[in-house]
Amino acid sequence: MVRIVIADDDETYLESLRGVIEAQSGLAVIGEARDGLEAIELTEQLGPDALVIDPHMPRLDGLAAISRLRRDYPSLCLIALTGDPAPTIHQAASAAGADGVFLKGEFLEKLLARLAAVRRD
Amino acid sequence: MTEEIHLTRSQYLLSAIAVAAAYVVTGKLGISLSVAHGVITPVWAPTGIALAALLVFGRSMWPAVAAAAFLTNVTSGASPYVAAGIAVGNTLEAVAGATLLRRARFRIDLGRVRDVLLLVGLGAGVSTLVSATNGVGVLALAGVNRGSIGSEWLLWWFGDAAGVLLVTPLLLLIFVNRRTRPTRLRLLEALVLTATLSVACGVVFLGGAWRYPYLIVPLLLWATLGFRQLGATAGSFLVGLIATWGTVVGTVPIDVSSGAGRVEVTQTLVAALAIGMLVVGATLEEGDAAKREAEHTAARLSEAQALTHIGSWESDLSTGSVTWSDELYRIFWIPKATELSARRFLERVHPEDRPRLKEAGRRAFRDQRPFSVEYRIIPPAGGQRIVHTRGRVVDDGSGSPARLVGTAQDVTEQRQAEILRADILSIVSHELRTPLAAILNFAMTLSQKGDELGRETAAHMIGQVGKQARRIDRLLGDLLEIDRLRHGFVAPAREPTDVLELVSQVAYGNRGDHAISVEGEPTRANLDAPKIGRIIDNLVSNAVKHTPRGTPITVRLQREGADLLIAVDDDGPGIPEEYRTSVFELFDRGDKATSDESGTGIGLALVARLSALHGGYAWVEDTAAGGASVRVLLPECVLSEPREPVLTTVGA
Repeated sequence: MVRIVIADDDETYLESLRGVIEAQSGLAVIGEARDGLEAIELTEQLGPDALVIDPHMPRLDGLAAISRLRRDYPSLCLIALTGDPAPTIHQAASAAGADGVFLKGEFLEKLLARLAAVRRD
Repeated sequence: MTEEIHLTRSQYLLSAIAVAAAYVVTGKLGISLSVAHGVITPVWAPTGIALAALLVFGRSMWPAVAAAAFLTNVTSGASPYVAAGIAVGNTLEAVAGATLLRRARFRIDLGRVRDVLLLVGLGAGVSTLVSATNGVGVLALAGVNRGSIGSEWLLWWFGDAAGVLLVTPLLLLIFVNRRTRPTRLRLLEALVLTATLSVACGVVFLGGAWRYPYLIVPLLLWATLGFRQLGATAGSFLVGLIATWGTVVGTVPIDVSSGAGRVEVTQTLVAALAIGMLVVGATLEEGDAAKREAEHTAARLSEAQALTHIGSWESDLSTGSVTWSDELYRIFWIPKATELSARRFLERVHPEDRPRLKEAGRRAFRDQRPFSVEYRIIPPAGGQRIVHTRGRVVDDGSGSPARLVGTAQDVTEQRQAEILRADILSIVSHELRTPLAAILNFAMTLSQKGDELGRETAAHMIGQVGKQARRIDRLLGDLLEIDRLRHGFVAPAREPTDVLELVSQVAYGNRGDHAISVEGEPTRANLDAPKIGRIIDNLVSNAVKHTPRGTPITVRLQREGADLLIAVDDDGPGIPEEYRTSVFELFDRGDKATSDESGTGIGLALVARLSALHGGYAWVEDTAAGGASVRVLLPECVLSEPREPVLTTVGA
């Protein structure tokens, strides 16, 4: 089972993402965060295999959370999931240390496949 | 200046009487000064008066001239037939002069050398032939002329011409300057000048110094330099007046056999002086006009530069001197008095951009091709502006570079607008994509695991799909509304509205998982209900979006005289001081493009714009508990008495 923490400031989106991830066999959402700080706290508490995080978030934004977690947890699978198609965001997320950058709504299968592959990394 | 003034009937009559009176008085004076032949005088002022009258008031003034000419002669011993004959000639003379000058587009302000030459040629030279020929002819027919016809004709012609040269310009200039009020100093100068010129003329023409008429030339030049055409004409007139007097009383003992000869010499001298001064005056006036035009053009250019934020510059490569337009000083925040240098200019440029700018200049110089470069400058007060400079090398005609000329434009606002456009697309895409992705996720979950989810969970997810679709719908509605407000004048369609009812409907429809309550009395106000509904909707959903689930949200409606306050208070974390203005700006993400979303909303920007549409405004305050209170004030809209009481039956 791949244990995943998801982080997004949009409640409804978070709920829908949990549904879609949990519908896959082998994937489990073990925590939901609403900002970057909470994402870090949950990661530290729960020790997930993967974190799916929106780079746009209040308090500590997702990008800062990604670079901090990358430093502290080199083997954690970090996935940025954004609604913004601007290439700058994608480049910034990769530069911060994200293993994958996906656009919300698109590449859902790719995102799920990427998460399913976490164990084999 | 060629068109005449328009007179009412009574104005015409008054003017006609004035013209006729002036004609008769000066005519009688001229005759009483008459030298030899009864009606022939050295300066026949009436001719000048008649021409000036027809030029200023129009040719319809001719009856006044005709009547006055008849009256003048018939009361001076001429028979009615002779007087009538002479009057015909004098009238025709004035009409011909005015017609010819009008055709030639003569300007009565004598502001151009051309006008002076026209007056001398057509006015003094040609039209006076009519009167002289007619007058001498009439006298010959009547058998009353005593001298030779030739000398009589010449004297008559000269007298009329002198009248046109001395009297017409003075009258025209007085008319042109009739509304000018001189300063005390100018008045004093004019008085001193008149006195000095009178004394000089007196010495020359009355005091026996007639061999030195040149004494008066410097004084006439002073008059012309100081007062332009008015000075030239008034000075010449004064000289003509005193010279005529001296000639008539015989203090100018010019050694010619006859009085007529003496008159001719004086006339020639005075005419030559008058023409000379008028030409000098016109030349000066032309120079003045060119200077005014140049100043006007420069002012217009400066204005255009200020409006477009484009300044211009020029650099002389041989002398190294640099010229900047006023706007360029403003663009670079350099005081106007500053001496310019490349170093002074580069100081303003952002250090990182200096090498690029220098390189562009070098390349332009080397390749002799136009260049275009954009760079940042740092105003003294800090911040930065973006400037676009274009330039090219101008050669000296033989192929070697002589000058570098170009423009610089402050393009900060344009560049910001371009960045904003790119941002809008990105933000709209993001705002739409999140609910859309949520719908996709729910749909995918429902289709894959619908059977296993259980009836309640499935129903909840389907409900969420509907809610997200409505969220997208509202976002698109807001975008369209903003677009309408941006692209044209939209007037609010005000109608009496029960505001509490409207607030309640919208607020409770928006409830979500928050505890929403409405406070306030029933209020009728003159408002655009759909637009106010959108304001409330956006305020509430903004509070819902930015506070945790279950947070209490209160919508308050408050009358403040004729003004109406709508406040949406929440018990959430509040809005930090630094975002309180920017939350109302459209797509304003500032420098925090990748962080916090508090400023990205379209909703509050729309609230601010819709409030402004009603003459009001929106702002943020803290609640007593530290939450956010977003408020809208709509002025002068409350209707004094509600027509029917509305009951608050809706509760949380």
